[in-house]
Amino acid sequence: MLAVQTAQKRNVRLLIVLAAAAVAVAGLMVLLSQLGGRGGSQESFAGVPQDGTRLGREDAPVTILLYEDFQCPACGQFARETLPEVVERHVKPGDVKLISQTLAFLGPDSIPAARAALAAGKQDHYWQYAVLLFENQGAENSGYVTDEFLTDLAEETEGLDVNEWDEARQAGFEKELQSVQQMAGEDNVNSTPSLVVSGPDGKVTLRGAVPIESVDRAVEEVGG
Amino acid sequence: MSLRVLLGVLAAAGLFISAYLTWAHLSGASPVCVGGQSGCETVQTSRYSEIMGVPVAALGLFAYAAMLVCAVLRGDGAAVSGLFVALVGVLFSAYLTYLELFVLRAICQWCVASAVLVVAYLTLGALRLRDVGSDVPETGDGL
Repeated sequence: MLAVQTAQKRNVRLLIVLAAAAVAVAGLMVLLSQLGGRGGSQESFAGVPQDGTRLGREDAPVTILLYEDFQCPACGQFARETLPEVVERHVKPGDVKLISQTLAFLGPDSIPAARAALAAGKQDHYWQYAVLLFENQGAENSGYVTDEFLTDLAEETEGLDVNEWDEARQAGFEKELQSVQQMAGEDNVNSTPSLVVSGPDGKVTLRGAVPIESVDRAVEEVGG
Repeated sequence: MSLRVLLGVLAAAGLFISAYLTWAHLSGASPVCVGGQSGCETVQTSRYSEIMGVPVAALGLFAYAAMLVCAVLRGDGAAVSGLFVALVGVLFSAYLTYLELFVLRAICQWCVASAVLVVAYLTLGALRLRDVGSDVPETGDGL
């Protein structure tokens, strides 16, 4: 009887240790998951000149107009996989300037996201904010773009004055959004992402989440 | 059917799902999502899909492989280890499900299926441990 009780006690103790260890391991994984990637990609823009939605030197010979919608999954893929390489290979050396052309055509969640990024652009932090929007992209028009969501990202954006950003966001940016829409029509852009690469030797349009090699070729072709 | 066989079947099913999702993640393919929704893609490409550069699906692959080994092996050690891995899996799946529902607002059916499998493994794993702790033969009919 005593032996059974001792064995039971031992089992209970074992289960408690097991549960505590499992909670510790799972907790550590959650912590790493939360920390992972947070703000990490913002570093790729360090030291690169920015002005509004422009990234790179104003006098760069090649211009890439990047038509994108913050809700579009392929735009997210491009921003995560190709964009850092474009910045590294072409923007930092001064050959290319990127201009984000924010379209808000996928639905109601696209508009506040676009306004929030444009408001960050008023402080020349558009690209850092945009990359966070893409890294935290949710399902299209699921209502994930809440005020809280946008403010959290603003707080994560390194060097952004959140109060100033919040004030700027109220402006609405109707004119800017309309003008991009009009330019998209002129450039025959009807899907996102689309990259209109132009330089001294001409103009090339790339559609979809293209790999870096396609961008390299296009830049070379237009004279970069 | 013995508990160990059932545990083995659950772990093998989990292994299949996580292998498929790991392949989809690494190759950049969109996982087949029932109903043609983009939920799986949103989840698979989100910033939560990797931990320190390791795909979450690959972590699942290792966990299910360990659970399968624990199901195949006999004895206290295997039963306890299997239960431990399953408990970590259940807790982490709860976190991932929370992310799907409230952060990404996108549901990946494969992830839901994996969560169900790991909860079932934990439940059966607890029954197995009870049997191991008592005098009931482990290979006998535990149900």
